[in-house]
Amino acid sequence: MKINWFSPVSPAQSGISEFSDYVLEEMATVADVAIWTQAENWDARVEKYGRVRTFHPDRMPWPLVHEADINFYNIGNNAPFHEGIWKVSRACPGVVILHDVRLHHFFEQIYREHAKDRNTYLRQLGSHYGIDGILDGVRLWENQNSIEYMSGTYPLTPLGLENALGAVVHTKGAFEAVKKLGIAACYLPLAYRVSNPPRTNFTRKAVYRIIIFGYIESNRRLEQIFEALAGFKDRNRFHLDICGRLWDKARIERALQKFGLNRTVKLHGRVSDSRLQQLLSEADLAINLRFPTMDEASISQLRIWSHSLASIVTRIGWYSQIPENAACFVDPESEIADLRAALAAFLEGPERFWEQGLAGYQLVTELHSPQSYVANLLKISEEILATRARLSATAMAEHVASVVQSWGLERLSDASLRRAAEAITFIAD
Amino acid sequence: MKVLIATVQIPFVRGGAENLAEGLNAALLSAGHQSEIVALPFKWYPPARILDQMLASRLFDLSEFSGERVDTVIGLKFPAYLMPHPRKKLWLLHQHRTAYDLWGSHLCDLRHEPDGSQIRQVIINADNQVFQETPQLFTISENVSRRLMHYNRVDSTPVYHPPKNAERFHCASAKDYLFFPSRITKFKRQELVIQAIAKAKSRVTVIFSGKPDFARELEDLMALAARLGVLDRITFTGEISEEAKIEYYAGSLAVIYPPLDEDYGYCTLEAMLSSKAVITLSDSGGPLEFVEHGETGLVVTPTPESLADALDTIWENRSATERMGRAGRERYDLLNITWKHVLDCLLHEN
Repeated sequence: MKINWFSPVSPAQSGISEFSDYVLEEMATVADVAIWTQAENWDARVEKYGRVRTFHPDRMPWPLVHEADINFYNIGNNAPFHEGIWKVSRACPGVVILHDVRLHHFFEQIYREHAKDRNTYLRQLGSHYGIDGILDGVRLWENQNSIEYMSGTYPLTPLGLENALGAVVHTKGAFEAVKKLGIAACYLPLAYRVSNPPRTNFTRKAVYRIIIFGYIESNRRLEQIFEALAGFKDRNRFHLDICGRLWDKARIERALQKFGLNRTVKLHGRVSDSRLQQLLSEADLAINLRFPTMDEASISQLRIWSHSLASIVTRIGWYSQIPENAACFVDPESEIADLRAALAAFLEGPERFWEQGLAGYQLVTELHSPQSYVANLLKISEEILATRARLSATAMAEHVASVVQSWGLERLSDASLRRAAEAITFIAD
Repeated sequence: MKVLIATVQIPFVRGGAENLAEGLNAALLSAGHQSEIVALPFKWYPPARILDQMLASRLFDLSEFSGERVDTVIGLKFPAYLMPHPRKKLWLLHQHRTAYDLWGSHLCDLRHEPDGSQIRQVIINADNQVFQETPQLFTISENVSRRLMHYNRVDSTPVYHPPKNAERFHCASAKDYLFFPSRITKFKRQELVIQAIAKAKSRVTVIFSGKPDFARELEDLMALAARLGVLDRITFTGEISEEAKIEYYAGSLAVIYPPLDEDYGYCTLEAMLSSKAVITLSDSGGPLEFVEHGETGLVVTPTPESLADALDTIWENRSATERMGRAGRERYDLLNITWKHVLDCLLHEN
């Protein structure tokens, strides 16, 4: 099978580029792959997976695109990485690998930050959510509304899946959400390649190392973690390493100052992959909170488990489906208290947390293997290709409806509807 | 019988398809049937238009008009052949080739569109459906039947038909020119012929007649001939009358007809009716069903060098060329290429 794979690629600072690495490495062994990116540079290893093609959505070499049997579009919530991919996906039907169901951040970046196109933003909200969507959109545009509220109320998922042949999602919640839109959906556990062996022994320590890493935004709850740590009586038994870009470094530094944690917490900033690997292997516990969540599957959690590392997570979204024996949970309603209780439990019985880390390791190796992911992706591709003409049935039905409407009719007669349906079915089913 | 011939028409463009439909209609009328051509205006761009026209075709009801039952519908071209009728037959000129054999080629416009793959799949889907619902599937040539089998896995029966004014073609003494009658377009490969003329050892002269699809194409050919120094050995007559065309055939030494994978190729038959040998190429499609190398003409590989050799062979061996021309006429007569045969096939009920 010939496949076009649209995605950010390494060394882009994106969990999706990491995910792509795992998938492409496996996919290259079973398919003929062309990798489409807007990046100007990429890691040399990407070229081992297939032909790398750069693209601009306004100047697509369609004959080259059409050489493939199917296109996969990786779409996440980060406009710099995914806006171009989304534009192509709208024009040229393919399968969207939807990494985030709630896409309002994405479209807010596109329409408000980049294009400053208020009209189109409001029109999209209106077409999917009616007048309430428009009114709330106006408020957001005028900074009278929060993006978190908009994301939760108007996820704009259908806009991210416009013209898609189908969608692949990585959480059961996302699967249900996409299914409700009437789009062919498939749930696959997020692919992750484990390259470390499981940890084999555990020793108690005087000071345990906690790690937080990734692209750290406000929903990672750093300030709440600091507050929990600051008020924890045995806080000196922990040292916290924070690796990755902070959404507001000055704010975090002020928080550290406020909570007196400058000696307990180290801000590493962005680190190399090998350095992060080393820090993960030295860590005893990871804190991987999310609130709110876009209900995305967490590649960082898989990375934590690949190091057999114990973790504290928020019981929400994808994380709420983690088995009880594979992580320690905090409730968003009682974060700080739950964090302190978790830290206390860790000190009292770190072996139990270590076992959770091992259980997580088993999960990631068994459920999230790239081989299984790619095998399922190819199976889905065949099913979708066999019925791809059906996508055009919707377009034809909508065209009929618009023509009827232009005649001033509210609807066709039953006989006419049946004939139109039969004709559309004949052509596109 | 009341017969409707379902086809498409590109307004202001006339070609073989229109001649075929009119020829079939005339034959049906001559045979005592009531017959009408139903031609849908066809526009293939933007690609979404194709779906509209497919849907429109499928929504037609041709079963009866004014209380009079239509006995049969003969579908000729996409998407008109999608029109439903309980006793429909297809006599395919060709499918929508950009979705099939031309897909991957520089001649395919569909693949330059973002939804090209999607539209292509819908066309194939609908074609497969209509071929399934039509028990009697005919084509105009073995070449078209081969494509149907290759892309759609359906059997069909090729039925040859005569070119327009078949009875008027005749042979006259050969003059010093080769004749290439055809629309001026990349498909027909006039460019290759000009390149071959430049490489030929003999002072071959060629008369090209036909209207260019785009004026630019003719300008480019003239510029090429000038660059190669053969402008004095070619003539572009432009579009000519039927009478003039018949006379050009009659007086030619031989006919050149080297299209790329032609469906049928009236020019080949017109040449045979005029008792003229035909020079064609190994990838020309339809003409290869009639031209036998060394017997009724020459079939060579599609390169300027090979074609140049063929031009020299024809030019320098006049008696052999005339012999092949006569053999072409005899072969034509043996093939039973008549409208009666066409009607016998199309109207026969299994």
